[in-house]
Amino acid sequence: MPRLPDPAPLADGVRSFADFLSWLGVPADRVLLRPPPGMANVSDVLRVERQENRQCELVCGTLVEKRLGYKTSAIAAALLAELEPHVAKKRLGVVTGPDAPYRLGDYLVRIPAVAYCAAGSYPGDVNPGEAAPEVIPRLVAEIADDDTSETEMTRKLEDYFSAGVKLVWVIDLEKHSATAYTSPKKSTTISASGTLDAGRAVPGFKLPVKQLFRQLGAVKGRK
Amino acid sequence: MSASTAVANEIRTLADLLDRLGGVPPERILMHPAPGTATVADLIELEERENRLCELVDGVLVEKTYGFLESRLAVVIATSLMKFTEPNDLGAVTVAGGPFQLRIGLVRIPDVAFASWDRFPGGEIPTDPVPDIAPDLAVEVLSPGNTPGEMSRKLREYLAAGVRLVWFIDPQARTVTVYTSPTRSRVIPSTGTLDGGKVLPGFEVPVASLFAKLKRSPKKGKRNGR
Repeated sequence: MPRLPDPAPLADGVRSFADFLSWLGVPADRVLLRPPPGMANVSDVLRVERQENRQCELVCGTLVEKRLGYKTSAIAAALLAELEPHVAKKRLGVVTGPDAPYRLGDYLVRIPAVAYCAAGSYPGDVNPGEAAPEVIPRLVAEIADDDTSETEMTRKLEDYFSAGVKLVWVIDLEKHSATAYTSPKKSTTISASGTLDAGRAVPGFKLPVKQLFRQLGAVKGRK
Repeated sequence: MSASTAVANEIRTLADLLDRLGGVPPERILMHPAPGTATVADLIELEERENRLCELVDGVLVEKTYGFLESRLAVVIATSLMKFTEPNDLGAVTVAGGPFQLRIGLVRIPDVAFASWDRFPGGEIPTDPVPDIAPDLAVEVLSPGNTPGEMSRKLREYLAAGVRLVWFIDPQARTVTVYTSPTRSRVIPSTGTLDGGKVLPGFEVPVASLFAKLKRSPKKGKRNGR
């Protein structure tokens, strides 16, 4: 039998699957078993999307399924609607929506709800639409609903900042607020009446938090 | 067969795997080697390195539950079996630590097992740490960590591999359930007698006498005091 490649190194203290699940902060039905946990790579993210039409992130060499959400998508759309014209007008770079995978490390692919990559981030003449580009966004926005665990968001924050993301906005669907992180531990929460300021991450971009939630009034039923 | 395909097709997520294993808690599933890729060699290495008893189920290492009371009962059963098998040189009695490879990718470790000499090639105990044979009798002492789904899967595997008799010892209920097929079972109450059936004709032990060994005998115990 050919020797299998080495799996992704596990975080400290992870021995059983229970340890791994609590480290990931996701339920067991979102953890895919093929390829075996620890053995998946970027191409598996793309293959699963093409063949099974499932959006998975790659965390510690493991495919972790993303949950779709109507309300979270509406919030992402509201942010995109403001951010993209700003970036386009000033020719600052590229804005992507909730289906763009970013390869942040050997065993790590994240799919942020919204991301902004500065002009010049793309090495050479790479098509920005290419899947899993090795480009690190400057700004990332994630939307947390009541199914998102604190641990899962902590993992994401750690992943983004260790890859070089400058600013992460976590938009809270339930509280109608947003938290701006400049590191996994350093954050400011902005209430619905406040304004998000992208500062140096996206020069000149400011957005009243309530703008993000303006579509939700028209959405009835669950997210 | 490539190791990464050992996990059956209908198992997509970890939740499916846990379900398939009969509700085994994720605490008992090892993350390394990656679930679905583990082999007999990994099982042996783990036992040598960490002194952990794991079973191998479809390329997944599942830790065996253990407990003091369960261990004591296993010894009592093994001893009573040996009193019968040894004088007649019928075969080998093993306890937990003696794994059987029931088929490729499936290694189970009964709490007690008996295999007649006929089951061993050349009538000799193999040096292979995980022999490719099935015992005649497999005994499992149920512990609180075992789920009904897990035990029913184990039972099916034993019988499919050629085990002729399976005993599930229930320390809580103080009963023994005897299986000779997945659908044929008999519960022997604490007042009943466990027998060796066709596997060990003539072997008999009162169920109560097994559980009696969980505490000091009222008559003999005093003499043991110093």
